[in-house]
Amino acid sequence: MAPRVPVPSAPARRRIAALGLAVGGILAAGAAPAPAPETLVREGWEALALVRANDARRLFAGVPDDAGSAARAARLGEGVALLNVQPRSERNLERARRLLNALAAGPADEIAIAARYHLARIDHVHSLRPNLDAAEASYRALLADHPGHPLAEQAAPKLALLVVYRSSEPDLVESRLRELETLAARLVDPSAARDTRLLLAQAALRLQGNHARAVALLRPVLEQATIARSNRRAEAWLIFAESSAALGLTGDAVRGYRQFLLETPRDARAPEVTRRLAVLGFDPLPPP
Amino acid sequence: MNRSHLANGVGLLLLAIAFLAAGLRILHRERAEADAGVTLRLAHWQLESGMREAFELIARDYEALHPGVRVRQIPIPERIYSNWSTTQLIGGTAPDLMQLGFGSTSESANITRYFHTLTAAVEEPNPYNRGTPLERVPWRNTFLDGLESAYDGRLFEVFGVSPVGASLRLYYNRSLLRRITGSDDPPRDYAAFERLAGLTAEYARQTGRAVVPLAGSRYNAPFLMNQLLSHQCQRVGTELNPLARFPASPEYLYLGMLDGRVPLRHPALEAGFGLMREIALQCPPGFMQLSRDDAMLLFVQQHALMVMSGSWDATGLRQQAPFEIGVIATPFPSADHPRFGRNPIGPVADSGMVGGVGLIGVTRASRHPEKALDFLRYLTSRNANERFSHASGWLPVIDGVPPPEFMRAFMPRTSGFPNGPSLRWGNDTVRWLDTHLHHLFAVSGSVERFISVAEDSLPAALRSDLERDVRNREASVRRNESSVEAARQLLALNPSDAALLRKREEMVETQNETEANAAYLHLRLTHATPR
Repeated sequence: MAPRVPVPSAPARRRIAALGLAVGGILAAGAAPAPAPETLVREGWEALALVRANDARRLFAGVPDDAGSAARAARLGEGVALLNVQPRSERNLERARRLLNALAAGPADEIAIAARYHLARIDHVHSLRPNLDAAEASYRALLADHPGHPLAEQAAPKLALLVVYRSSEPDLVESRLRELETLAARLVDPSAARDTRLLLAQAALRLQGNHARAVALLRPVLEQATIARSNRRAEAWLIFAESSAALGLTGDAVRGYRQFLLETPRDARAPEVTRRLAVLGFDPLPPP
Repeated sequence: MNRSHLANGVGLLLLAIAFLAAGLRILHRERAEADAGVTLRLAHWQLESGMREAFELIARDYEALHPGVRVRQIPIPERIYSNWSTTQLIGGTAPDLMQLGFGSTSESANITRYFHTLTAAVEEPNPYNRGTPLERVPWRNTFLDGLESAYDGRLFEVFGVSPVGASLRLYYNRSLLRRITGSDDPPRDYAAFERLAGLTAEYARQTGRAVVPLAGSRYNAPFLMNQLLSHQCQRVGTELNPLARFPASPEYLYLGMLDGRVPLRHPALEAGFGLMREIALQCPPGFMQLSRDDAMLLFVQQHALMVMSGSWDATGLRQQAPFEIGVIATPFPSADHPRFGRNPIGPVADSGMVGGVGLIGVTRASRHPEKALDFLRYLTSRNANERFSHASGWLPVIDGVPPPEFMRAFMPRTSGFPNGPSLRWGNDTVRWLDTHLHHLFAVSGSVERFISVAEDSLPAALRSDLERDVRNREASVRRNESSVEAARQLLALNPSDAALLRKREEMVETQNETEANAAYLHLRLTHATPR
């Protein structure tokens, strides 16, 4: 006698069929094509732009190493995202370092330059034990290896603030400011040139009280109108005006005060700036 | 059935009834909202008199313009707003529009997660300004401060706009002033304030009435004291600023106090502490134990002639006070004051506005984000802002909108010199002050005693605040660095995105500035030794 095979009841059969359909559905969904590597990379950057580092890292990590140029972009994204993954840990920083070192050792393209820049930033600000000498050397090397490159030149303001605020010893300050002024004059990228000059002008005033140096550094920045934020523009015009007034450069002082008032007429300093213009014998606005 | 089974049964029954009631309530709300077409819900904590009425007014105006849209406000008390908003945001049940500033609505990661950015929208003209001089002006520039106060410097984005501004002023009881002085003239400077305080004390003695010059509390008194101390620091604060002949910010005063340039016995600080003590002596005894409501009650019940507060209390005070209220700016010492005239540079100019009051953002949970944004545009259009300001009694924020008559005294003073730095900056310093000010305020206290105590333990608090400030700036640079790289990469994918280009430039600029300032403060701190 053949063994009796148990046969499920009708309702049970329906349940099994429904389960089968559900499992099939899930498997079918799982088999749907994965997003293209380029899409993952773009979504990763979009997440990182919104400071969602964990989401960004997951998206970048989803790009396989054999995805061509998207893979290099994804590894850069992953490395940069790791710098912001919380909690900040030496382990994450080390993984970021490994990823970025591998990219920097590859072809000297945009990705490699970006990787070198971020490696310098790890030594400067991200590491739990910053290595300022290493950061300085990396910034200098980046600038020397890629003169005129917009991203490489972003190292210039970082180098400037790192070097100039490391000591207040007068001789050192003077020699460093001089060297960095020369560097600023060579920069091609407008935003790198702008920020390097602006921060050197402030350093000249803070560490030396040197109005002439501040005016010389601020003048090209203000004339090229490269400052993006209106309140920062107003601030720069005011410093320019004040230093010009201290040097007896009345025309520049008047121009600076007027521009300040144009940029930020409701600032609490506006009434006093108007008074200072009057002391110089001028109105807030030039005659039509 | 034993007792425990009975208790469990009753408990379950109650739970079921509560669940059913909640379910029915939600169902009823959703049905009502569905019947109304689009319902926009707006949550805020501005429960001051006038605000809810103003929101209602503008909501009805908007509904009349947009049939099929209903606007419902959800006023939430300030003390529970943080928990309530966090629950709503995490639960995905947040209203369409929410006021930003407490708990989850104040943290960078949460803001980006739960709120839409308005950065691109504020660059476009506000369509509700059509037919006004602001017709072609980008929305951001229609605000008196160009939305500077709404700009999130950590995220380089705008997440909310506000229909109101605020400022600090000294309220006084006009009829009581008349009875005390025989005149309508309020004190315009500190010497007049001193005289008025003396006359008030004399009036109280003669009439036997319990009246003090100032309704102080731990909330109100610091407003006035802080302004007077700052005024004394105008000149020294300006000397501490190497960039321009204007007062430096508090961190540079703290550095000066640590490196010996501004010792605690500096004439400006001594005079400032002296003023604070004199103000304290005009307040009711034990005023630092009193709350904001206690102070308002003292004023409304005519047990105090004056009270310092913000414009946000104007409507409430007008409604509650059975007397005519006057408003003046802080009575600062003038240059000829024998004890307090030398340290300030001059009368104080203010921007008048405490910026970013009550920013309202569009939540990602909103089912109608475009409509919610449209309501914000309407709320801050020139005409609606005028109606809102007049209904609420708060200051307008849109260019060209006249304030209500009573609020004129709250508008910015347009002459004078900015106020100096003060000691109300940094958690540790403020905490130190709050726990040591009794050495200054007590009848048995004195400026000398306060300074002696401060010399021992205040420098540690100053240093701690400065170190935290440097750490915060550095953390901000680290946090935003990835966003800068992300913006650069996204821009490479879409080079014609002008808004992104602008944002990236602003980010780079701000990052470099923040980092340079942190490096400078760090350098100064390494040379500053606690005395």
